[in-house]
Amino acid sequence: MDSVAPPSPGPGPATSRLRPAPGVGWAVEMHGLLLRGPGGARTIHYPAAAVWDLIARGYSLERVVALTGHIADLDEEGTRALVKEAIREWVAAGYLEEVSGDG
Amino acid sequence: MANLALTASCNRGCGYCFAMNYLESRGGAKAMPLETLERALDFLERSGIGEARLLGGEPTLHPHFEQVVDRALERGFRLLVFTGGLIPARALRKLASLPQERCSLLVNVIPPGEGRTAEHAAQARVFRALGPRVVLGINIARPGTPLDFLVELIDRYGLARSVRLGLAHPVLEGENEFLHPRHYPEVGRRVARFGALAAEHGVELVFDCGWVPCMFPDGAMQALGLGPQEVGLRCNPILDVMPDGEVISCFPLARHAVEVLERYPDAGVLRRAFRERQAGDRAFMLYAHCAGCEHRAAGRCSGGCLAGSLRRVRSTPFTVTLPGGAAPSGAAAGQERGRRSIPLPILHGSPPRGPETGGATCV
Amino acid sequence: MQSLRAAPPASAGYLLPVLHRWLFHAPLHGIAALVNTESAAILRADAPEAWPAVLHPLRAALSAAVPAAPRPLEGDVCPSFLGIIPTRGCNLGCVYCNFGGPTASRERMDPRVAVAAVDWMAKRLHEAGRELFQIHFFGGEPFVAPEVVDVVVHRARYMAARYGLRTYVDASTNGVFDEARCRFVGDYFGGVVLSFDGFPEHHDRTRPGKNGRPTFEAVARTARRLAQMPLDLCIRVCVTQDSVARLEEITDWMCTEFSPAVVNFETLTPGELATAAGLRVPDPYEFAAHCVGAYRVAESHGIRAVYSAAEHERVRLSFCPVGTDALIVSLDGRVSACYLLPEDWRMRGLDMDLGSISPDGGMRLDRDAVARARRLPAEKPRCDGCFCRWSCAGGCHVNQTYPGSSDAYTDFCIQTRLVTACLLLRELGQEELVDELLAHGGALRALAGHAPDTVDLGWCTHEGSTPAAVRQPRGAGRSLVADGMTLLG
Repeated sequence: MDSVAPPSPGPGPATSRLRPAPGVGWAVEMHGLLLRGPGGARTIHYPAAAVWDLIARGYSLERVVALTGHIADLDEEGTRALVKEAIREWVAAGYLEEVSGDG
Repeated sequence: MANLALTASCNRGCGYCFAMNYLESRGGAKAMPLETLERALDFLERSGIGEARLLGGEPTLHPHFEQVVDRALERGFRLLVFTGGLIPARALRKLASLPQERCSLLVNVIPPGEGRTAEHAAQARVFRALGPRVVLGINIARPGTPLDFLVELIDRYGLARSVRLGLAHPVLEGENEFLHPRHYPEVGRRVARFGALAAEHGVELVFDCGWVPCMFPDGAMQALGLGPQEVGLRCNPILDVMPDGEVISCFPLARHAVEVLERYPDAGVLRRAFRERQAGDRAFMLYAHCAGCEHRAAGRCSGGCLAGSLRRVRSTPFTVTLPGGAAPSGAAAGQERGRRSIPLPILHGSPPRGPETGGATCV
Repeated sequence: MQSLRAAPPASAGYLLPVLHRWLFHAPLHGIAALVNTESAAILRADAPEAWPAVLHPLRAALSAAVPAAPRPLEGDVCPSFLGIIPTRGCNLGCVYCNFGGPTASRERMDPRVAVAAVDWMAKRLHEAGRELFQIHFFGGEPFVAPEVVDVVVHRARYMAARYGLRTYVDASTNGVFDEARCRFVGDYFGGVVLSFDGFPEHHDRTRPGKNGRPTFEAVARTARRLAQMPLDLCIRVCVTQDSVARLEEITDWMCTEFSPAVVNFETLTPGELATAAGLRVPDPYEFAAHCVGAYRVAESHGIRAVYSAAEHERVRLSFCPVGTDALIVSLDGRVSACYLLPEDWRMRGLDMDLGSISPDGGMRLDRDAVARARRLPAEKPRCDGCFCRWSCAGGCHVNQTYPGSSDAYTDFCIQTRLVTACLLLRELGQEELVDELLAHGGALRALAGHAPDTVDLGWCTHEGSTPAAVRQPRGAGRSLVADGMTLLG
């Protein structure tokens, strides 16, 4: 999983940054993570729990994908889809928010 | 139950103190003005609470302590004074003059080997002066905190045959010495042994908040006569009224939420308000494995001290950088919430590298 | 030194001289007693029916069903834990390192090998109806390969959730890592064994960085951080002749400063590197005395002290993972019973390899190799007559009681016998006797060198159904029996 696909073409901003929304906190639980946020507390199960942990600990997205591939035992495409979907869900639920222009 | 913190002053320097950090940080009135006391007593009255529990800091250091006592008694309250046991002579005389049925003291005893000789002597004076009015209390901050001496003190000074055992809990924000949950089983074993000694001497053990069943050896809770109400489910808003009349849930959670006394008709409503505010946090428990614990599943444990549980919660800021590119299929969700659409991660290649944080450092 | 080969241990009680008295120990029963010379003679020679009344409580206790002596495992492999060696590389230059750390390659385990091992283990535990999935990271320094650790931890938790297992992850580490790694360890690990050799003058001498720079401050910082985390912090102190005299002081400081769950004492393992660095193994008598002192200090803090070889509260056949079916996976996919370097065990004529695992998930375990590893701890001729047989269990199979090793007690045996005896005496409430013993060189030597200790208790061998691992609670029944015994003579 150390090699990943080349960048997808297309328009759009160069990069976008996400961060935890105010008041978001998380703790490691027996089989996943417990996430507290605007929508209340919810458990993140594996393998998404690993994605949150790796992102929260500052791994670059490329490494998150590489490591999650091993953790979830998925191929590259599957891993990307997993990470993408996990982040989408967290954004939708308000756990992650975009960092404004000046960061 | 609600406690009135009469003053932020204290003449002891307990490392585990969960009150001073907060009291000192508040500024404003260091001692509760008498008019605030009246408001607080009104609140107790309309809450149907018959006992005025005075704490601090050291409540007997309140500049008008005698008046506070008189006023509470005049209004028909029974007094319980939480004290570090270094009581000024005037206050001690006042307390000694009160009928036993109207006033008792919970003296936070200095264990042998700790504190100065003069402090031990001062506590001994209080024990001699107040005898059976004194209930001994001890906050266990270290697994080796001695206990057996409590029985000896009770016998020597004829104190109330009851001991209040507290766990030194961490304050959620700030620093204090606290009993780490890794030591709970050791403390459980020691308390079980102490319980046997106490029973032999006819001394009852009373457990303060935050004790959990998993810290006791098998059979110890039955031997100590403990149920979930004493051990497992005791982490609730206590309601501590600050010198300026503001109310907190409890000292370890002091900065978590503050309320104003007048806003609430009685203690029940105020307690409910705190509970509701803490509801989301209650999902967090002392240990990561609490979620799979049989005590929890059976409703015998709520997961220990909330402040201790919340120490496990991470909220370190982080950012994840998403490369731009493809149309974000997840944007709809963001838009639903009124947010700007967020590009989804397009995960493209770059040479693998290590984490930006973590890992062993080379020396 | 006479031969220690003695009676079959399963039915054994043991008697050993303590000044003018005798310490009786029946480890399988969980009983100890202090008796006088006359009683000791009766215990050795007389049929129990002829025992005087004062020995009746002991006879009654011994007559109760006794758990079977631990035997080598049989049947399908069901590992006690999974050991992972993410790398043999290390970021320190410890002068006594037995793992080649300072010069070892920083090569890391292929994460696919790690995942394959985790998956195999989780499935096996599930099939065996186990609930606990234990993983221990060895090194080198495991956090030199942080991504392997991350993958293993998360994959194990993922698999544990799938199979309804609980995970317990711990690691042996030098503690020289940053705060973010501390937080990760605090969040995901149940325990950490942190190597920390004492005050700066000790620690920095034995555990410097590769460039020779001191590491004390870095390790102390980590210890402070880990002390705040929800895990069991075990501080492991390697004791040398330089530090042994200050063991109590070191223990007091560590307990005060870090409030660990355990302080663990190990004596320096002799080796070329250690010798070249001028380090000496502590004198066993001195170590025993200070170790007992350190136990007392730790207990005053409510903290557990452990000298591993003297853990007499539990009965065991093997001192270490060998023989327990633990699988230690090396970075090249070798699966072994022992975490030491292969060249170390080969030097003793041992083969600890059990098989291998490949990145595609194929686990190959050699049945004969597994059987050999299971039998190894049972073959300890030196230990047959020693009262520590079921607690020390012979110590390291590679460095202490390897095949062909001498039957005579070594320094390791001497210190283990002394510490174990003192701990038993303390449980009997004989603190003053312990002090007296430790101050009496002749008595210490008599106890240390006594052989064989065995007393035939064949008459009371009714093996119960209780598994060997289950013992009476610490101290149960002991002081009661002791009170009775001390009356005679």
